[in-house]
Formats: sequence, structure tokens, C-alpha cells
Amino acid sequence: MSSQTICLVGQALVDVTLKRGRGETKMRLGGIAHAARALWALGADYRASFIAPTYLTNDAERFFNAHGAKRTSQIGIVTGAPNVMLIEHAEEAGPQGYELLLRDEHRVTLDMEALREATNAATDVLAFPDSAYLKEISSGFTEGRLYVDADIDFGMLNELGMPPPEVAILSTSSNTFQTTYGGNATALSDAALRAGTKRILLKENRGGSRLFKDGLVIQTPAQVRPIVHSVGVGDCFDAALCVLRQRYDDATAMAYAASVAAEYASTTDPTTFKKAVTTTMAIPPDEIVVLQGVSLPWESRAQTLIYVAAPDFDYVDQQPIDALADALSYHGFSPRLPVRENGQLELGATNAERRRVANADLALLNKCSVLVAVMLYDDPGTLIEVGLALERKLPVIIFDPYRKVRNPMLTELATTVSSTLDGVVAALFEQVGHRT
Amino acid sequence: MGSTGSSRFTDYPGSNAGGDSKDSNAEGGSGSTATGADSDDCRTPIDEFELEDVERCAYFVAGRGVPPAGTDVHVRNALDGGRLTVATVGDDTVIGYVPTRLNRLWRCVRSGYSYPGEVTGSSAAPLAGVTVQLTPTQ
Repeated sequence: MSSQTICLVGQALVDVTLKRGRGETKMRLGGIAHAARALWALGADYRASFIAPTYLTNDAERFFNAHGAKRTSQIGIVTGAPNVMLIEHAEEAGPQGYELLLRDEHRVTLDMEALREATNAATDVLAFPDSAYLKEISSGFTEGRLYVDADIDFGMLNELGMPPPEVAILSTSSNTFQTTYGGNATALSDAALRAGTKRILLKENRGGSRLFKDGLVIQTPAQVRPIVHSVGVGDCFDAALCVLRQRYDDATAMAYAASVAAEYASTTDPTTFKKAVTTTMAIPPDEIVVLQGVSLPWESRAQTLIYVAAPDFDYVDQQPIDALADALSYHGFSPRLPVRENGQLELGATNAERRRVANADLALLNKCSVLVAVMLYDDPGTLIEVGLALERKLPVIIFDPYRKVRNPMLTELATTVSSTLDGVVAALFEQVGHRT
Repeated sequence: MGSTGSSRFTDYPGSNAGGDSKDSNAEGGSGSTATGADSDDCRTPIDEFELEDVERCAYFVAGRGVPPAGTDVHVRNALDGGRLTVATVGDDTVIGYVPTRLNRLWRCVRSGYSYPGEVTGSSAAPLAGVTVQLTPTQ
């Protein structure tokens, strides 16, 4: 095996996960620090080349040095913004509410000499560039395999005069995938491969990941489990893939990377993470590659109609219902809300009107393949719909935000009862995704 | 008006501070992740969880129904179609599959841990179901 030296390139940020309820505000280094943690945990030989405001320089250097970087250098300075990312929801059950402070004032001045020096002699470059300075960053790459994780239109790579990436990486939550390519993985991969990219990796959150190359598609399941956070988890996947492709074929490297990413999402304690990664690598390659998980490509999710049974009435606090619907939509599913689609009955509604609504709700339930019930209180309509779905052998997931569900017919017959959106989303992926 | 602040970065190796434990609200069987220096989640007992696909596993298919509460079980040392399985200790007959959300146990098994345990509850009809809990040994 030839030796590998990875040059990690991108911004250092301060990630601030805002406290919720009685929790604490969590502050840690973000940006390429997430990938650095994975490189450190895997014992990779790497250099950190970071971009940051000057006030962060010492902290960033100290961080990367403490996380095994063989060399650390600042290749750019940020002005106009503090590089602080506020994170409202760490788990990515739905939209995370990322807020980069002073985003519009954010400016990067690159030190091209430092960049060239940093990438010189690296066998692999793992870069997380912003589109605003992608061209400048790309001109610094002269040697080695290039891994680029960026929310950019890969069709424009040729225009930038950029060497074709070994692996171009995008997530399904990126603006490019959602807008430029309309959520179509084939359109994305075709454009990237036409531009000379050798491989395109599409990370699909809890639905796994797909690697497109030479007319082939390699699909790797996600290791779905309840998580602590999802911040930087995809970056860890990238880092692990970059390291492990040196030793294994694409499918095996992706399978290990999926497990490393799952471990990163399970803790924010670096020592716990490293221990988990070390033991993950004790799994032989012929086993990790067959270990089942959840595969649910983005394009197939919209076909999954989810009946949201809930007292979705205007005199009830509908926030948990709204949050659930947003979360389901965020992950590409199609939530169907019967009260909003078929109407809320007024007091004194006629028998004909009652029958119309009941029939419309039943017709909608007949179209759906999963039912998620939001148990705000013992609403008879919701309970009847749960019973109907169970009788029809549909998966039934109970969202119990106030932890009121005690009845054994609910707790024992439903697929899952969870008081968190994260638990509901994880259960949904498990039920709808086919295990591969 | 006063203010509060996050005074420093805390998540350095061995800092033993700032790490989040597993959500205590997580679904059954997830166990919890200890935090702090040298923490090893492989040592964490696995709370009661339900085995999957009991009706298509060897124990049920052989007409033995479901094992009674108190039956000694263990996580088998081989994957079955990429899944972890739980079997009886005596004759190593597979009772059911471990939910994939507990796949992390496999890296623990491959790192030298064993997961013996017992059936905590079972029912044969109308729905076959078996719940188990596991305690790691090394």
C-alpha cells in the first residue's frame, strides 16, 4: 500500500448549537474541523489548510494540532464576518436552521502561496470550497486526487479550468441538487460526469448514499439510529471515504464511511468517537460491505404518501403537526394532512358534510402507505385512523411529543412510539427504506 | 441586562467535557453512550428491545413457538444475510434479528465483546414477538 498524505482545505467555523429547553448551548469548532475529527479518528496522515478570521487562528491551529494534523497552515483570512454558525436543530430531523452570522458581509482573501505550499506533495486533497472562491482554490491544485464537497453546479467545472475531481460530492439537501438539478440524481451525475468528474457521490442523509461512475451506480445503506446531532456528519463521510479508498474498493470504502458517519452522529465527545471508529475498523471488509442498513433514494421518497393522523384543528396548538410535516417534506416524503386537505368541520355541520369529510379522509388513507399519528391528546378521530391503518397492515408510527401515550394497544401494536421528531424520522426511514 | 456565554471550546480529546450523551428519549434498545475520556459504548448494557422477523426464524419455523421469558440467549458470532441475530444459548437456534439501529454491536463483537442476555417477554399469537435484553462481556 502506498503512503497517503491528505490535504484538508476549507473554512474553520464556530458551530453554536443553540440550547433548547433545559439543554446547554454547545460550542465547538466546525467547518473542516468535522472532517479533521474523522481523519484523526482513522489515524490518517493529513495536513490542515484552513481559512478563518484572524481571531480564530490560534484556536484553529491548536485544534488541528491536537487532532493529529501533521502540518497546519492558514491559507486564507475571513473578514466582515465572524465565521459563527448558529444551529437551531442539531439532529436534522427537519430543516436545521443554519444561520451564518453576517453572511452577506463574509469575504475571503486567499494566500495562494500558502495554498500551493499546503497542497504540494499531498496525494489527496479533500476540499470544502465555497463557490465564491472555488476558482481560486482550484488553481492551487496541481497534483493528487481531488475530492470536492461543494454546493456548486458541477457543469461549470470546465469553465473554471479545474482539474477533474476524483470524487465530486454533494448532498440531497444542497441547493444545487434541489434547484439546479431538480432533485434528480441522474441529471446531476450526468452533468458531473460530462464535466470530467470521475465519480460523483450523492449523500442522501438517512437514505444512504450513491456513487456514480462509468455508468455504474454503487448504493450504500445508511446506518440509521437515534442520533445526538447531524452537524458535519456528511463531512466525516467524505473524510472516511478519502482515507479508505486508498485501501479498499469504492463499495467497501463507502460502507465503512457510512458507519464512521453514524458514529460521529452518535456523540460529540471526541474520545468516544475515536474509540467507536477504531472498533468499526475491526469489522472485516467482507462483513462491513454486507451489513444491512437503510437505502432510500431521494427520488423514491416523494412516492411515499404519509397519512398524518392528528387533531389538526385551528383551536389546537398545531406546532407539533407543522414541525412533523416540515420534517417529512424536508426529507423528500409526501405528508398528507387530511384536515387541511378535506376541511375542518364546523360545529353544526350537516350530516352530508360530515359524510363527505369522512369519505374523503378514508379515500386519502387508502392512498397512503404509512400512517404517522400525532398524539396531542386522546382525539377519537386519530385513534380510529390508527386502528384502521393497523388493520390494513400499514406501518404506524406514533409521534408522542408530550409523552402521554400509555395504552398498550398503541404502544405494542404501533411500529414505533417516539416523543422526538428524530425518532419519528429514523423509524420512517427504517420502515420505508428497503434494507440492503 | 446580564448575559451568558459559551466561554471556550470544550471538545478536545480527553477533555471530558461538552460531549453529549445519547438522547435519553431514544427508542428502546439504543442503550446510552457514556461520555468522557476512554469511554467505550461496547460496555453499555442493551436495554430491552424487540427482535425482528421472529416468525421466519429457525426457532419459530421449527414449531417451537417463541421462547419463554428467562430463556438464555446471545448475539451470534456470524451475520445472517448482513443482519445480527439472537439465538438460544443451548442449541444456538436463531430466535430473531437484531434491529439494524443496533448494528453498532457488530463492531463490538468483532472487537472481542460478547452479548449474552435473556428473553424478557414473549408472545406467540396473534402476533409473535420476543423481547430481550443483553449484557456485554469481554
